[in-house]
Amino acid sequence: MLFSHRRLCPDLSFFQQETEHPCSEILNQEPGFESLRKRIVSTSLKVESQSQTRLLTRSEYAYSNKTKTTTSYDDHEYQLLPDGHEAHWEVVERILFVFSKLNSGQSYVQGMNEIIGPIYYTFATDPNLEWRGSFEKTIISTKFSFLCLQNMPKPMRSIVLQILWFIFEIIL
Amino acid sequence: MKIYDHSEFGILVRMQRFLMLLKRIDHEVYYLFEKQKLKPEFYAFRWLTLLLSQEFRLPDVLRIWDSLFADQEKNFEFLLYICCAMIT
Repeated sequence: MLFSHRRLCPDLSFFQQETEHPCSEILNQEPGFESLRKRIVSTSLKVESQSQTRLLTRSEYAYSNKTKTTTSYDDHEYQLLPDGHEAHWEVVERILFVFSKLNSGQSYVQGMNEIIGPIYYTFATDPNLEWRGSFEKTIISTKFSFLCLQNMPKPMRSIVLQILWFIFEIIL
Repeated sequence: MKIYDHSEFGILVRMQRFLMLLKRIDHEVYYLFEKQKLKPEFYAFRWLTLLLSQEFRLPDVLRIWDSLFADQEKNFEFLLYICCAMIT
């Protein structure tokens, strides 16, 4: 299965950054737990030039205003972070992986990465830190993210269900 | 998977509706495209399937999606209008 977790219009360095809410199972490396890092072999297409400057994410922007520093993210874009840490793109990869496994009829369709990207970004940069964390924890980072929809608080469930299912159905 | 393409919400019907809207809104462009045999499959497919997420920078995508999802009941009708506005 060919699988992509990248935006083809990579204007933000957000997805290469470490998530504040990594999956705890992966973080703790429980014995017998297989992470996607081991299950998926990454290959990448060679891109001739991809050195456009990235816009800053909301939180970064606030940070750089305070410290007046700029950082370059162009090198080693999709490098794996050390054990116990994971980047946002890994979380996205997991969502797509789990979705394709749970919906074997639809499986993965080219372009899903582009749809999930903005949605994930929106939830993961919520101004309310508490919501940001709980979104990742309850929906994304847990073992079977989409099965967990049933156990989620109702307002949350309806929003995500509506948007995610609706989108994934509509693009097919 | 193919059967969905022809359904009410499928991509083929959607592109057809986009084309009809273009014809209504901008005759000239529509007939120019027709003369050059430029089908919407060649340019609008990606716009419609990915909800324009590849065409704009992420902050702009979020703004557009806000409007698109506000229009959920109508099956992304607004998307067709944005696409038309992009060409005309």
